[in-house]
Amino acid sequence: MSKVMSKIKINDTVRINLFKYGFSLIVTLLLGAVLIIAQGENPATAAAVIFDGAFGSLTKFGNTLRWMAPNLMLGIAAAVAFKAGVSNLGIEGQVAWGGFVAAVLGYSVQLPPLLHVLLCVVAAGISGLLYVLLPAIMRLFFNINEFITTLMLNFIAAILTEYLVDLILSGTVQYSTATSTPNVLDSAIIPIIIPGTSVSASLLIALAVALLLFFVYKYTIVGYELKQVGENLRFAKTGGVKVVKSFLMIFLISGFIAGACGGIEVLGTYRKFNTGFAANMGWDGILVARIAESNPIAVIFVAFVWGALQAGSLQMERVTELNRFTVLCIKMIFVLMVSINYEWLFNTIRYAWIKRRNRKEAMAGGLGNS
Amino acid sequence: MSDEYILQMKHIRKTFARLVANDDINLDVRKGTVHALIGENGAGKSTLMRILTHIYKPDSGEIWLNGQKTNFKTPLEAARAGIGMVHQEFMLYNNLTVYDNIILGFEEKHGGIFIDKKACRAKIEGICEKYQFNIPLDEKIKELPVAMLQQVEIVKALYRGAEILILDEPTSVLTPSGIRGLFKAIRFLVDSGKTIIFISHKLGEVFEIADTITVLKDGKVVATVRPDEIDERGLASLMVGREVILQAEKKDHPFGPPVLKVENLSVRDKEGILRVKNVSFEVRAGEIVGVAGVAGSGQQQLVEALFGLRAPEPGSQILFEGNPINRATPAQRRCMGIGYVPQDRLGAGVNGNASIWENSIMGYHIAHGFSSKWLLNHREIEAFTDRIVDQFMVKRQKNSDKVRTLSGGNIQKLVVGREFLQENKLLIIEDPTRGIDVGAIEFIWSKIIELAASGVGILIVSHELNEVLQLSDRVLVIYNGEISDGGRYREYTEEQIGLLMLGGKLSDVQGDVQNQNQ
Amino acid sequence: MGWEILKMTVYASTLGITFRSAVPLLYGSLGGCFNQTSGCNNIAYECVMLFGALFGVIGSFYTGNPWIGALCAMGIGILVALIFGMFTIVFHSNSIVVGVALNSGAWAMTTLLMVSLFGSRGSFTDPGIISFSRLNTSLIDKIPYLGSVLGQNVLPVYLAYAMIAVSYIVMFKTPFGLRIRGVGQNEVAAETAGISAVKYRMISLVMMGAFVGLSGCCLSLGGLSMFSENMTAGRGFLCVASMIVGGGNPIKIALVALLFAYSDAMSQILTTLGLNGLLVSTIPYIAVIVVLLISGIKSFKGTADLEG
Repeated sequence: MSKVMSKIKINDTVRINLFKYGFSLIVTLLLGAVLIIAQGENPATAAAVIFDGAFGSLTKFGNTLRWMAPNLMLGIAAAVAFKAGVSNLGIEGQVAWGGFVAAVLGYSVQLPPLLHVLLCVVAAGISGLLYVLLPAIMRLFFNINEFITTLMLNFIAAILTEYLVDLILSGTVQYSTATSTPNVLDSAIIPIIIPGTSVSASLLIALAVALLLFFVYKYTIVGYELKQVGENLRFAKTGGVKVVKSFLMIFLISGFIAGACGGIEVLGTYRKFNTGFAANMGWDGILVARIAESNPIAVIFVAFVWGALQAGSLQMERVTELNRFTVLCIKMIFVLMVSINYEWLFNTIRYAWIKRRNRKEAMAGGLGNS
Repeated sequence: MSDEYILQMKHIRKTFARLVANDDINLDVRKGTVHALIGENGAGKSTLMRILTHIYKPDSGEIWLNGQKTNFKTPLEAARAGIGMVHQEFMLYNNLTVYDNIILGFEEKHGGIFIDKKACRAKIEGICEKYQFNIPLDEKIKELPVAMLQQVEIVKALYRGAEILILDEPTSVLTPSGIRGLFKAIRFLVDSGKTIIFISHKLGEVFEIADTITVLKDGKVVATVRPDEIDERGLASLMVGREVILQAEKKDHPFGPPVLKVENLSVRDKEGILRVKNVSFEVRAGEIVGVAGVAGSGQQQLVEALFGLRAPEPGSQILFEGNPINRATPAQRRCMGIGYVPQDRLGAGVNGNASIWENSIMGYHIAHGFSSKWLLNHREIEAFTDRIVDQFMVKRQKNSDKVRTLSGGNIQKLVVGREFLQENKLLIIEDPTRGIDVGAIEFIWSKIIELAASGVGILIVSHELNEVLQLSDRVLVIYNGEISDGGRYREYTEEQIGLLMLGGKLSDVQGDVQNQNQ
Repeated sequence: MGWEILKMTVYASTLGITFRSAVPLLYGSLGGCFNQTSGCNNIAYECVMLFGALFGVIGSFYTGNPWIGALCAMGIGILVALIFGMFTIVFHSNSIVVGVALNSGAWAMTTLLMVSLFGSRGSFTDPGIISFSRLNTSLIDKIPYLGSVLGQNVLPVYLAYAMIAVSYIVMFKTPFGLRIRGVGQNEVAAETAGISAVKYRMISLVMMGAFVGLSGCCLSLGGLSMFSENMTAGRGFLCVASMIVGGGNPIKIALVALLFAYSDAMSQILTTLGLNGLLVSTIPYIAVIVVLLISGIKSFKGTADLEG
């Protein structure tokens, strides 16, 4: 009996995780089905259409991969931050700056093809990095939580990039209705890697970043320290880790990746900077990271599923009466279900149960004595 | 009238899992007296008071108030019935005014909706006048000194209608003059009919203020006495005497030159209060120096300063092998060969969510590193982890198991092993055996002695007096941030050291103890 | 030109727009400040507001009465707030994640509802949506300058300003407000005074839902009589920001909200003059950062540090 018990205890984490994702999936599917039926469609048909939209042909699969790239990159940007206990909610702003800088350098500078892309992406990354510097300084020196500062900087980034687009196009501060920069030069375009699809080399960059991060966390001393800082700051501090430096580094890495993502999106997909193109991209990244529990490899999978759902939902909208927002809703239900603290819930229930049993035993014992 | 018991606790028993915190405790408190409750940490004082205030429910036993059996369900009902408590950690709201703090939860209303400010104020002022408290009602809590906060807490309890006032370690945060003020207030309260339960482990105070003293040890009542029936020494032995005392086998060996030399060290805590006052001592190679003291005497700040986690005050000097290290970071200190076993095992000693190997190499990866500067070398990591596991007999299945799946004793062995196996020259060890079983204690003790015999200087800071006495070549006693000499191994008895720890009279202890009370 | 712009800052129309466009922010931030003060890290304002805007339209469209629309908005607001409470307070979810998910999901959910109920994408306007009617404010209108700033508004506008005083009184003059502040500062201490943190957080969450829902309804029924996709456009986050900067004091919160509305009005007026008002509209966000920075200078120790 005790042997069985100890076995169960060791597998607790696995069991909780299995239950967490399984239970969340079932609840999500049920609610999703209700949502689809309410709109007068058959859930099975909808699912089939989504699947077809995501995997039905090479072009469709290409769409999945195309949407996967930014989700993956931003998922990593968010995961890096969350893993170390930094709430970088400003990913959207960093993406906007990255995209803008890449677009401007993309059309205004003349360079050989590969070098041009490299310059644009690195510059995009650096602009994201610089944009996160202020919240980082405010957190480390003034103890101001980064969550509200990064949030505010999102809005500032959206407005300022729009303003600068106006400025570039009209050359004056007169109000114009322009919403995008000129197209980038051909030399700055990130090439399509699967002909006949919209999959650009952006995906490779995103995968490379994810794998690099995985490598850093698993095999390097820096990665080891960053993980410990995030999981137990005092432990790392007494162990001799330079926690302030680690924290700053986290901020900067997260900002750099987010900025670079803005760059590759602009160079690989849109080829120009549209105002407001970053809207909601950052939030998706945060949610992807949260579902994957900040594990870089898991982020790859979640980003893939996210991309498939995005591609599938567009197809669903074309083919059925359903709106692509249905899929968005289903995604959110899943995020909410996964966010529940199952471990705490289990322990609470178990504790209450043990307490009740003890009380019963005590009562039985008391009766026996008397 | 004065013989009437206002409060009786009968056969109180409370267990937490396997730990018996209170075992058949009887407590009779007379109205209008100061009843002191003394005992070591973990003797069950706090548990008993939490049962009295109905924060905990006892497994069995009864509480009688004014001759009637009580049946309260919540702390609120207990408070309404006149049981008030001043917690050791003040239950105050820093950004609210004193006035708001006092009335919160017990507001007088008018019109059923609004706070009747006038009525509340009048009530508070009435209390202040009657019991001679002088507190600024409109200041915010965060702007007041600690002694004032305690008065606020007492007034708050009286405002809530407390007849019985429990003061939990009330003097631990006060200066001598603050203590005098508190005692005056206590006398005044008692004279006007209130009853005080005074929790402490400082004997001198208890003798000064208490009418009756109940001594708790290991969850049981050892004795209930009047101060005139016993002296401090007798009380101390009641408090700290143990039935089973673990024995450590010490080996005789010569000491080397000093590895750690501390001169005039002063340290402030996070709030800016001076917690370590002008302390000097040294630890020689191969020597075990033990610091004994009651919790909160400044040990934490002392250790933090020694390990570089808190900056010492100007004028302080910390020398390691003769070199000043005041400004060295923990990383630098680790590289020099200083190891540290923190007291808060789960908070600072390990990362419970990480694997055993990740926990094993913390610090080692800085002080010793791996063959590559950047990459983790898993072969070296496994080798070092296995050494800890083997030599310190950590029971685990594999090195990738999460640390929180281990028992407390095994976690402690892991932490100790990590620090002991790094060829350090100086080890700072806080409470090496807190909350672990006897077998593990003996094992860790033997390892400490072994390490000292090999020439490592060891500083043990422990709240277990017996541990310090069994292990130390030289005993230091810290009381209120000041260190006094507790003699060489077995120079003084446990009772004598115990008296020093509790701020007892120094003249009771023979030897050349400096009188630090200028 | 410079003179023109300077004069514009006090134009009656600028202040008039400010007076009106501050209303959703006032309801949102004043209604939410109790919840914020009680220690809930709630950023789901965008979500609740959007639902409020839609359900205000739904209620008004089907009954022809904007006040029933307002009640619907408040009802849905409470429902969404309770969902937030269920996850964060009962299931111990991370409140930021729940907030982000609800905010992102709200856009989708409301658009979906709009499409399935009204069959229109993008935005929905219909003569059947009855807005609040303008009050007859002939007395105010007669006052020069002030009349054109304050007059000719719907009742919820004036109620929003009344709410500043009411919130202040509730926060600082009633046991409820005091307890809310206590729970937010020291939960354990509140529990020892017999005050249940969960209970007070839930109550304040219901208030937040009701008023943020109402604030959404003011957007959709305050004059335009329409609902459009994501019509809150970041106003929910502005509510969060004004609460954080205002630090739990309804008067300060209202002032911050008014500052936000003012800079919004300025950028609108600049745009109508053919100037680029975008830079002006960054003011609220920059103001938040500057205020936080000033408040943080106190804790500046000269070195970077992290307390674990």
